[in-house]
Amino acid sequence: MNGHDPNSHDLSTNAASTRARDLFDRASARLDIATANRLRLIRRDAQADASAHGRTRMLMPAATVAATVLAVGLVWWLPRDNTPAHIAPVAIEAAQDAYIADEDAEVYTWLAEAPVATSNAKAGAL
Amino acid sequence: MTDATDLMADHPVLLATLAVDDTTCAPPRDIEQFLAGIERRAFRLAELALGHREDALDAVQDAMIKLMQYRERPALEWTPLFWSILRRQLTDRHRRNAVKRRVMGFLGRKDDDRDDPLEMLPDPFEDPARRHADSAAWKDLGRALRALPRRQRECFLLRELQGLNVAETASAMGCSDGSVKTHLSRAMSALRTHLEDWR
Repeated sequence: MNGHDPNSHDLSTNAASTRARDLFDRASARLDIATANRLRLIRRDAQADASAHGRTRMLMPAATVAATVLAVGLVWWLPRDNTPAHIAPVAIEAAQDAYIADEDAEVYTWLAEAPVATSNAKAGAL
Repeated sequence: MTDATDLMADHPVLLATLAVDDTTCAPPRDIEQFLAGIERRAFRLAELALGHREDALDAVQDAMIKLMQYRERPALEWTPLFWSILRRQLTDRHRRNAVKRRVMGFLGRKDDDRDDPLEMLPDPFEDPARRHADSAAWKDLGRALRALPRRQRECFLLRELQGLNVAETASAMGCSDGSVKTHLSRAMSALRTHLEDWR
């Protein structure tokens, strides 16, 4: 059993390792109640945290789908203007011009046919 | 046989521990059972690595929270994943504590390293002499492990104390099987020097 004996070297290493493992096993099995309770709470908190996170993650696609459906519904439901944007003002203007032209023709016709007042007529009336 | 069955029924954590640790058993039923079976050893391992009860509890808590993100993975992957996450937690806390100690030393204040009073409470079912011997040996082991280089310490903790096989240890440490063997051999050699009284 001298310092150069490789077998004694291995034996002492194995003995220290075995002792460390036994000690570790005993320490893990014989945990004080307070620490064991803390560990239990930590485990439950971790799971609760993950569940809450999971619920939020599941709600996200549902919220996205709901928002999309609402947007499509609003677009479908709102009244739409069928008149093409560029043509409408031109058409309205043309219609108004035609109306004014018709009115003008009637006025000119009436003016042409209307009796003209003279001075004799004025005297007779007096 | 009946006593053993009753013991199992009364101690679900013990049952879970056996289910997880015994490699011949089926993998854990769910993540709850897995964590219940591993939490005590994880805490003791963190305590040995960090030398502080509260730090160890925080490290285990963070590791559990992080593992929950991988709960959809196959149960067989949980073991290397959990130890890998915990190893990273311990490394980060080690660095943080080293900086804290340096700052405290610079400011002339001593870091709080008192023993937990709860740990000091005597267990009525145990021989006080043996408890004292175990407590002293535990402290010696912790000191010796914390004196090792980081990779050697991680390797010894995972391979020798937690009992992971070489492949699992390599996976948890993010290195090759050969590196695990090298780190372990150096760790054992250093521990033999540090733990002279254990021969």
